[in-house]
Amino acid sequence: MEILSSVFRLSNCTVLYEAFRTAISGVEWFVLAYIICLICFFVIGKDYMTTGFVYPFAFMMLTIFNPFLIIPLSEMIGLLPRIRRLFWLLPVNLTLAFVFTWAVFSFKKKYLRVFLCAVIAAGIICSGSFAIPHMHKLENPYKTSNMVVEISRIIEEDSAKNGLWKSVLHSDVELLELRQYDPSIHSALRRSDMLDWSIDPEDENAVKQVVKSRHVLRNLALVSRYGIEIKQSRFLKYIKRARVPYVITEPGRDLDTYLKEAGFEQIGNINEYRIYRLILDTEQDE
Amino acid sequence: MLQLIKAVAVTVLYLFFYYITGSLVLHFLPVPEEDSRISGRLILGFFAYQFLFTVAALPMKMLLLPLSWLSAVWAGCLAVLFVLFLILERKAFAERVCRVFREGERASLFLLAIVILAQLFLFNLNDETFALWDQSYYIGDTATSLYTNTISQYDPYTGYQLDNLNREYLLETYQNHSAVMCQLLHIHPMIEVRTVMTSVVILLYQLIFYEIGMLLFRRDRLKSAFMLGVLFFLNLFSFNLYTAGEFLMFRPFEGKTILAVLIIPGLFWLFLHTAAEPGYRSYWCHSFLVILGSFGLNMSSIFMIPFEISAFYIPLAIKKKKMSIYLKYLILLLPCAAFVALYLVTRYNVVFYTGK
Repeated sequence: MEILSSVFRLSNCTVLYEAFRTAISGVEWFVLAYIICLICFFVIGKDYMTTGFVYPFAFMMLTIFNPFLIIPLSEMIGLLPRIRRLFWLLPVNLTLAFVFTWAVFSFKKKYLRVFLCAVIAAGIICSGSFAIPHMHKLENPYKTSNMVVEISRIIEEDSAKNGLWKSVLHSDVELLELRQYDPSIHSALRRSDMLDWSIDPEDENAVKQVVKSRHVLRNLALVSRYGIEIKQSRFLKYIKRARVPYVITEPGRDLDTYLKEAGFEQIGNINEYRIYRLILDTEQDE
Repeated sequence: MLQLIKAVAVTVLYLFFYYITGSLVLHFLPVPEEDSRISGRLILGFFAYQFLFTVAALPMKMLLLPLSWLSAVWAGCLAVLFVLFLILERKAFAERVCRVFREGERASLFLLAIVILAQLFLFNLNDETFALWDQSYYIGDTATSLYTNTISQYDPYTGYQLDNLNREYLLETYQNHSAVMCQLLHIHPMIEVRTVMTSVVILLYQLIFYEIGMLLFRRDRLKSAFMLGVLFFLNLFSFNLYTAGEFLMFRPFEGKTILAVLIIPGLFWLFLHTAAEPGYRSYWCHSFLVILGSFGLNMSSIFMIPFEISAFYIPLAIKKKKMSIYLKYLILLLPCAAFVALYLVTRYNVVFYTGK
């Protein structure tokens, strides 16, 4: 009975529809054109068109894209968060490219071919979503930002000079590339302290609970991620316990006074990312 | 500049190894001469190569052996492949390369080269991925394994040793391959992953679709090359964080992109072959090989491939009314079932402690 109710739920349709809507956002016209092409293939009825494109699509509509089948199945096998990947199975752009090519070459006269190419190009430009504006020109051969390279160099030089363990407290996603560029640098906060955990910094009770918990990394995350200034002595204690001599603050987060009073000194500033190191005497107190 | 030259050299080296692996596959599982082009060899070679690497890497990963051991074993495997290639396929290689230029119409070759090079340049000039967390896992794992001389025993996000191997990614060996090649070739992980593998995936994507075009347009090279150009243009205007086109343009080096743009279209290409000639056993074997090679590349293959091959072969079997197609389809499902079982066992029942 429970299984049946999980199958015949209206929400299954809405979940799949929502996944479909987001998966095709910006390319809706391409999908529509794809379906029209499939209908044409079916009408034309050539073997490679029906076998290669139409029948697999029809099968998928009945099974893989059937909300009453795929949603309960996805829940069962843990596919639900990745359900949009199913839309990769639809060869939308391939079908369109095939049809457009076929259409262009069906004309014998060159000027007609050029004209059709122009019409197709105009159609694609008008109905699609252009990728180039979303790209970012690379700054170095590592395809990371020069800021990451520079921060890595500063930490490397400082740790070599002072014999410090290269471990950093930061919570900026951009700085995740630090470890890809230089894996000898350790990062204090885990994925579970950054991506999978969050609190409302305005919620005093939630903040208090974290402070009370004395959870080392979560307390460090309070300072680094939310700029919540916990007791400096306690912060220092957690910093030493986690063996993190370096802290990087992101642009717009002013922890300068707090960190300096806690026993840090600024050793670099790259694009408003400030790099602090625990003052050595304080480190040696440990 | 030196890094760029190194990246180009490593890309060529990878392609060479895919070629020799593909040639060896076709030596034992031949297809008609007109369908055994260099592009097909590279595609098949890529999957066979990845499968061989998975076979070599998985036990060593589970036994917590050092990365340098795996590098040594893999270097040995590559040497064996090379020697086998020299013995079995040496003469055919030179002949085949000459034939590309002799038989190929200049216009189609030129168009093909332009389309491929344009994409290689454009996508390699971009450093935006929109996937910093995913990228941090994949490249972080490669970099950390290389730095610690271990196989995936450290948390890529922090650099600290894990209590046990990450169960979700246990069977995935794609990152381990990058670490091995970085160790063998002394190349930076970010360059290996973000330039070399990016170029490899973009190139193989073009070749798969070129081959599909050759089938759809009855071996008309010009139309196939033109279709690739149209496809490039369509992809360029398919921006959305979830489309395969976006994955190809922004993060081609990821395992899931390989699933979207190489594995799924690769199986489609082989399906078109089998649909045309269901009795020809080699194409079925090639599909089997692609499926085997895909699991080490991305774990999502476990559930995506059964869906895909069911959508292809069940309607085909119904249409052709042939029991043999059902049987071969079931055989294609076998590796999927085996990997699902292995995944379930390693995900829920077995823990590989790192000895931290």
